[in-house]
Amino acid sequence: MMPINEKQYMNPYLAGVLLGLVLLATIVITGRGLGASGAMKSAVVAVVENVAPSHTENAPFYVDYAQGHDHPLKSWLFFEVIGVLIGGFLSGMVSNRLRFSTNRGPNLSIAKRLPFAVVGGVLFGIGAQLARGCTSGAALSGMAVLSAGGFLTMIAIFGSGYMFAWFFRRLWR
Amino acid sequence: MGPYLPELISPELNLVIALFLGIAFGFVLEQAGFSDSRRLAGLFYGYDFVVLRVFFTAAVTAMVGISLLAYFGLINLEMIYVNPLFTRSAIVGGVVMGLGFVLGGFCPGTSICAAAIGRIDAIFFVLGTLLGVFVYTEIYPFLSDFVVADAQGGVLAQNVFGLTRGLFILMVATMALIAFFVTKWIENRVNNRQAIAPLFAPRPAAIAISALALITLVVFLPDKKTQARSLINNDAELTEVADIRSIELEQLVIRLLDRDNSLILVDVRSRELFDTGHLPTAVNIPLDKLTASEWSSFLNRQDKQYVFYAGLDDSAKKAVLMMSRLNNTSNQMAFEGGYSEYIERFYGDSLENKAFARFRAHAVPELEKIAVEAEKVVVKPENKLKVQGGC
Repeated sequence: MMPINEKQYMNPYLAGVLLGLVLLATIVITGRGLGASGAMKSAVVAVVENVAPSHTENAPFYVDYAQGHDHPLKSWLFFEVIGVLIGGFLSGMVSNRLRFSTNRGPNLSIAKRLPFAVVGGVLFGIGAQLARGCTSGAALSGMAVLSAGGFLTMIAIFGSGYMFAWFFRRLWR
Repeated sequence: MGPYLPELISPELNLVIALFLGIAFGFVLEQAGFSDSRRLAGLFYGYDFVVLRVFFTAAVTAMVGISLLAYFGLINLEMIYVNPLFTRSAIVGGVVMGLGFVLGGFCPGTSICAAAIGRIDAIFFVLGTLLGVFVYTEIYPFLSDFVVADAQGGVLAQNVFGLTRGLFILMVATMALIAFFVTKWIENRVNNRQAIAPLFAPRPAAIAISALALITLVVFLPDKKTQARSLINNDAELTEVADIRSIELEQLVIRLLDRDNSLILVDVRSRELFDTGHLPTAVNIPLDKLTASEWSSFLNRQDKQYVFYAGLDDSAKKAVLMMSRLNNTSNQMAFEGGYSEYIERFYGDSLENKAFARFRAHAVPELEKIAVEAEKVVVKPENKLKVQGGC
C-alpha cells in the first residue's frame, strides 16, 4: 500500500517561521521553551523506578532527580513529547507519508543503518544529559531566549558534527 | 503580562497545554521534512541544508517575537527561563551530540517525530536515546562533579559580547541571512545543479532585505518596563502630559479616616526618608523599585486605587505615569503636596481657618490610631516563583 501522492515538504523558511511561532507561544504561556531529551529522561526514570525500586533509592542520579521532580511522567516535557508523536503522525497522515521505511545514504544497507541509528541515539542520550538539553531544549530554545549556554551548545553540536562528518561520509553519501 | 506560569495556570492545565504545543511542534517538524534522517544529515555534507534554514528562521522568529511582545507589555523579559551556562559540560555534551547526529542522523525531537510516521531508523534511534540516558544515569556518580562544575547561571549571550539585546539579535539575524545565501550556493555546487535562479535574484534578495528591515524596526523597541522606567530621569516628558490624576490632602485624609480598604498609599521616597516619618498606612516602594517584579502584583490590582506621594519633587507624578503605562490602567493618583504638605498642614503652627482647625483637631488623633494599627500589617515584596525549564 504505497501511497501515491506523497506531498512535498513545506518551504523551509515558512516552516521556520511557524516553528518559531510555536516556540514563542510556548515561552509566552509557560516561560520555558520546547524540549525533547528531558522526556526521554522521564521515561527512563519511570521505568527504572518500577523495575528496580531498590536501585533508585541508592543510585546518586535518582536520589538527585527525586529531589527536584514530581512523578517522572507528570512532567511538562513528557506531555509535550506525547504531543510531538501525535503531531508528527497527523502531519504524516495529511501528507500521505505514513508507512514503515528506513532513510539511509545511497551506499548503506538497512542492516548497517539501524545499528548506527542506535549508537547515534545512545550518544545523544548521554550528550543531552551532559549539556542539559538537546537540539530542541538547549540549542533552539536556548537561542530563542538568548541564553549563552544555548548558543554554546548549538555551536558545539553543529561544529563538531562537521568535524566528524568526513569520517562517516560513507553513511550518507 | 506573560509568562502565565506558574501564577495563572494550574499544573494540570499546564500539562494539557504541553500536549497541544507538542502537537504543533511535531506537526511543523514533520511538515518541514525533519522526519527524514538523510535530509537532516545533509547539513553536514552540503547536499541539503533544510535543518539550518528551519532552525535559524525559527530561532530568529522567536527572538524577534519576544522583543515585539515585550514592547507591548505582553511578556516580562525578566521572568523567562534562561538556560544556565556550564561552559565545559555544554561543550563536551555538545560534541557527544554532534557525533551522535552524524552517526544517527537524528536528534531526539526529530527522531520522535519521524518514529511517529513509521521511520524504522528513527524508532531505533529513540531506543538508543533511552539506552543512552540509562547509561548516563548509571555512570552519573563519575560525572556528577564535572556536570555541576563551572555553574554560571542564566548568562545572556548579548552580555557576553557587551551588546544590547537589539543589536545582538540583529547580528544573529544578519548572520543567518548570510548563511542562507552561502548554503544555497554550496547546495547547488554539491548537487551539481545550475542555480535555478541566480543567487541574488530580485525575489529572494527583496525578501531578505525586507525581513532584515522589519527585524531592525522591532528589536530596538524598548520593552514595557524600560519604557516606564525612562520616566524616572525624564522631566521633560512630565510637563508634556497635561492631566495627571491627583488627589488633595483633605480628600486623602477623609478616605484614610474612613478606613477605605480600596485605597493603597505608596510612599516613593527612599527607605531612609520613609523611616524618619510617613503618612499613615503608607507602603514604602522607592521610585526605581516600582517596576520590580516582586511588586508587580501588589501594584496592579484592579480593585484598588493607588495614591503615590513623595517629598517635594515630581516623583509622585512620575510614579502615576509609570504605573499607568506599565499596567495600562488608570487607577493611580498623585498626592502632589507629599509628605511636606501633610506635616506642614497637620502638624504646623498655622491653623489656616476655623473649619480646617476643627477638622485637624479631629483627624490627628484618629490618624495616629490608624497609623499604629497599620504598623502591625507588614507588606512585603513577594518572591516570584521561578519558572522551571530545561531538559
